[in-house]
Amino acid sequence: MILAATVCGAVIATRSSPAKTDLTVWTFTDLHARIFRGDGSKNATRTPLVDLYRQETGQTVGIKLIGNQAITVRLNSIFDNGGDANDVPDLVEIEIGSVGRFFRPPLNEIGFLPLNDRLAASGWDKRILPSRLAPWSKQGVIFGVPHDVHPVSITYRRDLFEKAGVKLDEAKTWPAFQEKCLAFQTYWAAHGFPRRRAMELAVNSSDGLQVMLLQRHINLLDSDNTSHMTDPRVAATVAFYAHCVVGDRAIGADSSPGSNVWLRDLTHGDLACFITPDWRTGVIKTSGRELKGKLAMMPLPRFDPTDAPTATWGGTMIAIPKQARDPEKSWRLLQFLYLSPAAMQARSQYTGTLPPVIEAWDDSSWHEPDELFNGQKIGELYIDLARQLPDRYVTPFTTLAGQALAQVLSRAEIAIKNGEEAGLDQRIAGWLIDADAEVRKRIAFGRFDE
Amino acid sequence: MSDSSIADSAASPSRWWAWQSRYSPYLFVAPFAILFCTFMIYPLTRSFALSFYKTIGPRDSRFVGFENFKFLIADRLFWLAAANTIGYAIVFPLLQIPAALGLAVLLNSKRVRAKPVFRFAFFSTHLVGSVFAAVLFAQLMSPRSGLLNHFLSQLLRRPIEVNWLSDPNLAMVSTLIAGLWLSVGYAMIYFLAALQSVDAELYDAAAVDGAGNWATFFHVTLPGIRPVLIFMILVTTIGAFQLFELPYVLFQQSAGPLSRALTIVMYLFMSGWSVGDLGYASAIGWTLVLLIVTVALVQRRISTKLEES
Repeated sequence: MILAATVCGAVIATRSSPAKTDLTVWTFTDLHARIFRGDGSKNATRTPLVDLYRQETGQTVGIKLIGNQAITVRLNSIFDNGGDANDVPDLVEIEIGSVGRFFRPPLNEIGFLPLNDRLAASGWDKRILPSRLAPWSKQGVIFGVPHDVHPVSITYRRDLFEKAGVKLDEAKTWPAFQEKCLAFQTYWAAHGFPRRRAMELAVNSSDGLQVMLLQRHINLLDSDNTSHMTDPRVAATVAFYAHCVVGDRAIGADSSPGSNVWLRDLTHGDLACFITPDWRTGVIKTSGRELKGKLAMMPLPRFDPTDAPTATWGGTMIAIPKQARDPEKSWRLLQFLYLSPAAMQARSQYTGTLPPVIEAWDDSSWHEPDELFNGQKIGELYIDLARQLPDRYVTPFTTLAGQALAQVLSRAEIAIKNGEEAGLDQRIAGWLIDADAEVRKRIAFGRFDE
Repeated sequence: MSDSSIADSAASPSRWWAWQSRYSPYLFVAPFAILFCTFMIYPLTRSFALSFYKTIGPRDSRFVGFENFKFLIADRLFWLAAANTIGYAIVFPLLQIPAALGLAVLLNSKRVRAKPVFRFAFFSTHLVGSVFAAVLFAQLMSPRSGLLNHFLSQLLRRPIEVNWLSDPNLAMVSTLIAGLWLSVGYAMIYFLAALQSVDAELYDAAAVDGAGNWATFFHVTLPGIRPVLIFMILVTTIGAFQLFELPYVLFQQSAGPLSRALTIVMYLFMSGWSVGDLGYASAIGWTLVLLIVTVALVQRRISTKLEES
């Protein structure tokens, strides 16, 4: 044992430590790490961003891949207790589901550097899609630069709908869309596919429902934590959604669980249409080549003419911690990694997601016909949708509000399953009032005097 | 060489030995004590103190007395989580202990061949960890493509689409199934070791007295493994109260239908890391400690009384 411990100790003591870099970036996703530092493949056609940055500025950049949860824990530890300047990243990426808790402190105590002045001075505030700055802001103060836009569309199996004689893209409203989907299911049930469902819609979680609410410009909680759960449109949307996932008029079902396993459902035709943010389209392009020519894309149907034909799903920001060693150097690197033409090119190569910089949408790659989609110019559709993107806000209580909404949805689904549909809308409204009261109570307890 | 230097050199080793015999126990214990204080005592006391504070921003905190606990008592979501957790903690040992004991008895039987293979097969589920088990069962229980429904459909010869993960009544059942799959083999190993330590002469004596299998089991085997049985019940119950990863991953980081899969630790995690309210999360944590200690004390008292009787 002693010998083993001695050998291990000697190995650890003598191993070379990783070279220190001038700047450090924390990221939670391997994909982004590869965008920044390259993937090391021999066939790589472009110089990694960090190498380009070194050539341009002489500064070395280290990219640290850290788990999403670990980033939250480590950053909060730094924010709460200070920390050695060498431990603090110069830039950090945060996923939209994790950002809320960082906005809990009063404005002046949030751990990230406000970026309004820098964005204005550099002109980026005019060049970045304004609605995409909303999730990373609190009371008008911007704390992060968006990586993406993630507008959502509907991608569907054109071939299957055509065989069923259903023209899905003619549906401009959600009720009309439901009718088309029911016709689709009826056709396929009669042709040997009784379990084929038209659409992927989550039965348990409120993610899909929140997409529909967002296109109606409803955030459950807005940026100052005001709850909108009792808005009559929320009750109506919950009722509609519940009817879409259970009962005789159900058109949706959960996709198979697992990372990107939903693509198998689409490929097999078990589920024929999906709400697709651009990152999901990227997955189809990478792993769903057998769907070539079989797909089509359309905007989301609406409930009312004032609704947006899209919403947003997912997102990442990059921010500068207040304790960063040299905020000016951090800001310069931020602009290079997120907003420079080289960064746009690299991102396009790896992810195919629409960048938040409006002028980058003029790039020809966004205007080319897509083989997978039978020549449809889906880049142009995403650009059109991005221009109509509703603002989305994230607060520390967004998860709780989403969960409260999911509970109301579950109750509505149970009522439909039990055939207790009479007066369902009113009951949903009542449940939402209860849920709203609970969320408000939690917010009042958890918020600080600002 | 002077007399005093000779005396010093003679005294020096004895002083060293005296010092060593006095302090060496402390030195031996020091690594554990330092680690224990750093990673157990300090975080525990800090979280206990934190449960009486509201943290404000990165550096400041405000003493709020019992406010966190007062809010907890009126928090419907906490009680829902507590009800789910307590229900699981009652049912889980009731199923796991007999199943593990049954398997252990079976594998201890002289009639079973290839015992090491079976032992490893049953124990191996524990090696994969709860996150993997949750991912696996999420696939198995998928209503449309899961093997479980496929198997039931084949068995009953009609299409079965049980919503294991979206039916509120089945949420905890699904968690229980996954939990049992994960842990029965682990508990079995303990019982197997205990069974092998029961004096074989007692079985011979029971056989001579004409005791049947059940009588032997209840009057020889069970008393023989009682300490391990009590230990397993205690450990399993405490583990059940700490349930987190399994439902968290199984229900894709949600609380499940009607929040029926929400456990106390999940709610603690949500309060601490989604909302960022570490004071309230600490209050939830200490309430859980109180609950576990109470249950452990009750179990201990019952087992003591049983032993006395």
